[in-house]
Amino acid sequence: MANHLSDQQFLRYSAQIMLPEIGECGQLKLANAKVLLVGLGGLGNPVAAYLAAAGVGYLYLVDDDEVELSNLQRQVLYRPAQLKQAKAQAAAAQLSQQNPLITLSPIQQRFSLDSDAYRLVADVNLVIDCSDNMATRQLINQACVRYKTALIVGAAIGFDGQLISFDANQLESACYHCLYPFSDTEGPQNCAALGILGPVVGTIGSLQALEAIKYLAGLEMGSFNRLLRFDGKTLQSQHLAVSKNSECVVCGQQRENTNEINH
Amino acid sequence: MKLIINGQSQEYVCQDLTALLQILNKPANGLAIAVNEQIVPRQQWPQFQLTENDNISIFQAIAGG
Repeated sequence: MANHLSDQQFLRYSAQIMLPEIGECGQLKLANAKVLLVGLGGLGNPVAAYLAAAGVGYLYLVDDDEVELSNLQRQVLYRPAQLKQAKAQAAAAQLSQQNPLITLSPIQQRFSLDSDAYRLVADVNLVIDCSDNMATRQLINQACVRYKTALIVGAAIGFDGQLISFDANQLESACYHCLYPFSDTEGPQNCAALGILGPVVGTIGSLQALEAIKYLAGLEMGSFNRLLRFDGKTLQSQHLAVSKNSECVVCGQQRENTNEINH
Repeated sequence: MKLIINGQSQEYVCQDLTALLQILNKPANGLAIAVNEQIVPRQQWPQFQLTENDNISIFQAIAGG
């Protein structure tokens, strides 16, 4: 673990180091931080790009998909020459050119219960959910509750975006399942089926990256237990509070009691 | 009773959130509901008593990325 910034780091990140909220201390926290990013589509692209550029030290990039021609409309990291390449490798290749000072670990895997990515949740400082289906979202949440890892969730479809974060280390934290207690959405909810504009996923991805930098640098966050609904048509945002549901099967009281009995 | 649902104010005859969904003919699949900017857990919908001028948001979870 580094305990000081190199001259090169200091110059490269000077625009954010000069912010009193970040400073050298915050930049060092970013440099030592490990972040697991699940999903390298329209959300994962801007999240990965901004976190890499900001000098987040260790990025684990998880996706089992390949780059398709129809991805290029919104997934701005990829180049036509990378079509049919694994997104994890393609993203890592682009990001390492942008910032050679950080460590990128591509993981070409679906996030499943027996995946390396699932176990990594225990070892990282933060998980960022940029996935594209409800089942994966529920599994990521479950892992974050289990290993007490902070989670920043983004989602987008059409002109609509949503953002919310949870920190399972906080006793009174809600979890994603408190908000959405189901493993399927009504009908298909992915961008390929329902359509999406690049800047809509880009907006939500940028907000996820902003929250991630704030969390890692130790700043106050606006999205813990608070759902942001963004309407790309009107540019209106709504904030809704989410409380811990004591009956939640993932993080609630019942679950904790069951665990105590089992151990 | 006057309720504001997704920004539209209207008169409704209903007591709780489950009854409201029935009146609106909305299936509960994939839905979340907030009353006065606070999400109401699904288990509480049948007992959740509505009051005059409650500001209700009914929306779909989204999972795209």
